[in-house]
Amino acid sequence: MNRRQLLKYFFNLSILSASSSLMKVNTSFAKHSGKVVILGAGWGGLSAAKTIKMLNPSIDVTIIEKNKNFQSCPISNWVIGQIKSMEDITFSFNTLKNKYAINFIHEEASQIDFDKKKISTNNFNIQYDKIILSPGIMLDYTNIENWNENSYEIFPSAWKAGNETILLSQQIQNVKDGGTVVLSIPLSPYRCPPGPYERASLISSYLKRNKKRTKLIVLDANEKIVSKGALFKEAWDEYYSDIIEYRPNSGVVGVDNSSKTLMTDFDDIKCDVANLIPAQSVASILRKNNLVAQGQNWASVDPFDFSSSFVKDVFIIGDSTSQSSVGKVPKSGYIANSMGKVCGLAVVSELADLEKLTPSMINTCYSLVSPEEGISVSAVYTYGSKDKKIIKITSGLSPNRSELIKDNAWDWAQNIWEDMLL
Amino acid sequence: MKVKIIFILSLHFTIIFSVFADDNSIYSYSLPCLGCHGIKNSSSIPNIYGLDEAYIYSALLEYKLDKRDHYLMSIIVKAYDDKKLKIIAKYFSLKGKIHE
Repeated sequence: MNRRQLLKYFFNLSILSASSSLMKVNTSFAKHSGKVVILGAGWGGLSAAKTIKMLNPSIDVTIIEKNKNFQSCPISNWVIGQIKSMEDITFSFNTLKNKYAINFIHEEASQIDFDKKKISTNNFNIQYDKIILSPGIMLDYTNIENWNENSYEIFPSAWKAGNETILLSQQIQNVKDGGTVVLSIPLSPYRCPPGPYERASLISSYLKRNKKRTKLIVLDANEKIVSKGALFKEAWDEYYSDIIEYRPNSGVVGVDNSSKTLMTDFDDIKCDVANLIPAQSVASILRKNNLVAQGQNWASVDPFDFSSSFVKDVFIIGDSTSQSSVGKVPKSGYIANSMGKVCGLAVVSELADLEKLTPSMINTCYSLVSPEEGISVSAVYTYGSKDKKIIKITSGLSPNRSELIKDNAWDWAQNIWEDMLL
Repeated sequence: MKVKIIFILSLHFTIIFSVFADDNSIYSYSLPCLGCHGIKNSSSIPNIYGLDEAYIYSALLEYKLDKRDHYLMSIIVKAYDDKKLKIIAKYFSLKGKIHE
């Protein structure tokens, strides 16, 4: 198929999808369809699903997602910082079900049969032509001594938006004045590089307003702040010098549940509230189905279309992908959204036997340093045919913190939620 | 009814096809922008859907040439050459008209 035909194809499909009354007509016109199954209704999976349905509504799309609602990781720090509520970051999948005719199966997936092209949940065996896996991360507590099933509530991570977000938010609200809050950060790479530092800022801001004598100790396994370091530092020095104590090279190696103590190689720190963000790795379903190489923490893909390095017709997007195969992109929501679009376009092209388009991706991460001011980092990426990786074309930080960036952060969130869910 | 639908479709197609003629990368370059730029009007991030194509292009160019200052757009636009800026401008100018 040549360029002109390809263009014609895409535009026909996108125009048809623009109006719901025309969708039925398109279904009967469509020569190319197929069945796509997407695992995970997070930032990657939803973005891929919507891209596919916008471009070719005749493709049958099924999402397997155990949660009944979408709870957003970006902005969940604002809930912990008492600026927003859990309701503000929780959304239904109804529009995707009704307007875009995307099927949802709210169960956990277990086994994928790559030969028969089938994925199984408790009650269903689902056939696919292409499968997109966007399962997110696994929190890995294996290197934390004394960790057991009771530790989750005592040392919540709140690193996946949900019950632990509410729990930590309540613990912060109830901490006694004069107490100690600890936030521990794992070695990079982990989900949302600036996330822990935004969280530290917002917790400190809350403490400064409400519990002035309370301290926040930040135990960072990294040697310095991983993202937007100078901008966070400036804000911390100016606003929170009496509250935050930042300790680099201080990974948590053990816990004691009964005395609520965190252990590093140097100290034991007894605390009133402990937010332990553990090391992270690829979601277990990818490892279980042999999509991760021995000894690797993340899944390897071809970033031209995000197809698995190991199995045909399998695509992997989002935080589970390895930087060694994709290139140096952060594990952020915006990147997962961009990967979903690249992969969605590629899957539509592949099903229709069309040439794939060169990937183009954007990342923007906004962080609040206080309820009044934000900072940001942005980058644009393309595919480097020489390295066969996603490469950065431009990037940069906001020159300073500002109220405008805080406003942009909230408007960005509302917009990108809409981009994925409405 | 069917005839009417086909007529509307072919009209849409003719307009858009003739505008975009030779570039099939429209989605690759434009879709990532939609993370920030949506259809809400009371937003601190402008809704640029359906704006005049030449206006969007000249605004993007001004950011690129540092004649217009924005802490974020000044970074983003530098990744795109002139042809890509034009593609993005066209996408946003038309999208508002296509989608309701």
